[in-house]
Amino acid sequence: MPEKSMTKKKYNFKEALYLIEILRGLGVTIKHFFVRKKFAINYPEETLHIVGNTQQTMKVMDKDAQKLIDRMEVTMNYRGKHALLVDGDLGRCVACKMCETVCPFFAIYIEPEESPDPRKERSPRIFEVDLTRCAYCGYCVEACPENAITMTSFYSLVARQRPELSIQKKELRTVIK
Amino acid sequence: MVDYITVAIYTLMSVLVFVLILMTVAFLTLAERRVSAFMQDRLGPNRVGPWGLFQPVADGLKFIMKEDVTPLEANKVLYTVAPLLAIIPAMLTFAVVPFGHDLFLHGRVINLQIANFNVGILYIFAIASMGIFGIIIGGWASNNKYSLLGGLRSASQFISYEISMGLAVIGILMVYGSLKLNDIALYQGSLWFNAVPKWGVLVQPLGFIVFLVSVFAETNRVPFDLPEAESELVGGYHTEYSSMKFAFFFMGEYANMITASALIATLYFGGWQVPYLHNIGFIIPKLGIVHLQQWLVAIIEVLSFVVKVGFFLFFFLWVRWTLPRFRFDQLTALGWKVLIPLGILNIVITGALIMLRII
Amino acid sequence: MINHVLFYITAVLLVLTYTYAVIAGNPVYSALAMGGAFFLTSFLFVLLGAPFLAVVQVIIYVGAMLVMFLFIIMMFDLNRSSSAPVKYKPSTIFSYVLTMIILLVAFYMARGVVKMPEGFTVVGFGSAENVGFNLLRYYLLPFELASFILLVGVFGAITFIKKRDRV
Repeated sequence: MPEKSMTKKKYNFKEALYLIEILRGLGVTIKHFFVRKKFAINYPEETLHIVGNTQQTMKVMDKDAQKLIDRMEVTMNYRGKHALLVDGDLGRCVACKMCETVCPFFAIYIEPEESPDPRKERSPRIFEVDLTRCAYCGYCVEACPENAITMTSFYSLVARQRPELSIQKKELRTVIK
Repeated sequence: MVDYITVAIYTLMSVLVFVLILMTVAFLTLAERRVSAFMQDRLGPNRVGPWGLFQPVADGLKFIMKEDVTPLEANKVLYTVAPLLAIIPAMLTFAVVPFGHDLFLHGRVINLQIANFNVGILYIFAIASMGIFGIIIGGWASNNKYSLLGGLRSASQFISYEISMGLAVIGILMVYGSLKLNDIALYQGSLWFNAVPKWGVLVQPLGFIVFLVSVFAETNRVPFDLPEAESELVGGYHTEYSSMKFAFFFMGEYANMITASALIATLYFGGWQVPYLHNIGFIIPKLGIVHLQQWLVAIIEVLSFVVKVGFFLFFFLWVRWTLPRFRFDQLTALGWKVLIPLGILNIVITGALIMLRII
Repeated sequence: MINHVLFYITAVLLVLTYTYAVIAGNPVYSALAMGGAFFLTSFLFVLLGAPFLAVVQVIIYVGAMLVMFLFIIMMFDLNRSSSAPVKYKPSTIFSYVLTMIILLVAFYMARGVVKMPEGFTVVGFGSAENVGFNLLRYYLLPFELASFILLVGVFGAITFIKKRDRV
């Protein structure tokens, strides 16, 4: 086994005395005790604004978490509840079942029907996303050839019963301009 | 002839102090979490009641409702006795701490202290040394290797740091010449060069540092919390404990903290002493006298004691969330190679200064 | 009166705890019983009106010595070393009988000579001032010699550790 040698850092007198350094440390903590940055959010009383409901409308992302919290915004690439995009009044989804196939958790269930739109053959009759199974990995978004399914930054996913978390096409439809 | 009214007053006082300690312990658990949260830019528990003030009640209820598990291979008797051994001495030590001087009430003098024992400091040392048995026995009886290691660490740590604590206190005893805590607090009111109160921290700065560090080790608080060391020993001596038994260990630790804070305040910061305040009011040399009612003086003294103890309780939390834990060899090295020599040095210096009549 | 009652209760408990410390199979129980006995001894000092001695007894014996004992005992493998039942060899029985005889003789001798403590025997008996005064004025040499012996003990312990280190 190769021998590993480590050199210990030489402390100067001030550091070796510890006391001054400890006082400095105490100074840091007491500063934070009195002057706090806001990181945590009192959830039910304060809620984050959901800015832009789809990734289509993605602006330049703000990577600074502190700035986001100061503005009380959810980050733009947050993967929350799904959305099926609708142009005008016709859905983009062609019921190709790509998302259903790629989904690692079998959270998506699709039943196709003949599309009212003359430009495409099929559209989903049933489009069901079971949010209790979904892990919000975003594979469905990647797989979609029509850019029909996306994920919003809607994070407050709560229900009293399981079926309420299995959401249908109607609830997923999101009209974009 | 037994004066029944005096007996009644002191009984009432001890019950009151007991309840107050328990209340303080309860709120310390909340304070610990809130303070730690604030120091880390978090919020801490703030859901139960205003500012989370009823959190201790909820915690207490939770402790009572939880299942009390005894490990199969544990030594049943000692496993049950250990938490009691941890909490009873912790509660007993406060008996000799004075929280005020005297209160004259209807021609009766009431010491604001439960027992003015004439070997007060040593009593605290003796009872506190019994508190360690709870930890050692708890660690051994759980039949768990982490618990055992916690107990062993606790034993060696306690012995090393009790010596340096004793050495630091000897300096105080030399200066004030009494073992009674009330006398020590009283003498700290006397003036140095007719201007500065002779507080222990001014007379014994080196002794104060040694004492402070040792007290942190004695109460098993960070940076010397090796007996419980969550990251290495799971929970140390209380790994196997649950429900109220665990709560007893927890309360014992916090009660020890209160006593330790009271001891620091009494020995080094004048205890109930407010500078220049005497039984008749403020007496400031060369400036004059401000007369105050005696009961008002007593209240001011008790308040000053509470404020000092409160500050040191906060200081305990403050240090906990600032410093990392010592490694075990560093801990023993600090105890034996630094603090004990410093304590002896302090005694020599104090002796020399007393001979030179400086203090 | 109440002093006498308390004294006898304490004395009986003291003998019982010490006996238990000897016969208990488990070394941890023995150590704890010894701790209880030390504590009762300190209570005897309190009855004699010597709180300083009482407290020092607790600090030194319970606070320091017993912790060391427990520290060592906890490192034993108790299942292997202590579960063997005590065998009553003839020599053991003989030693018990001898102890009883010595105790009886001591008891009869003590009945004539030793009187019950009457509470405060001397003013300031066993107070911190008195003990310190006597130790440093009349018994300074034995006191210093004793501390010297302790120092030698410390050196001895260190040498033992160092020797094992080198091997």
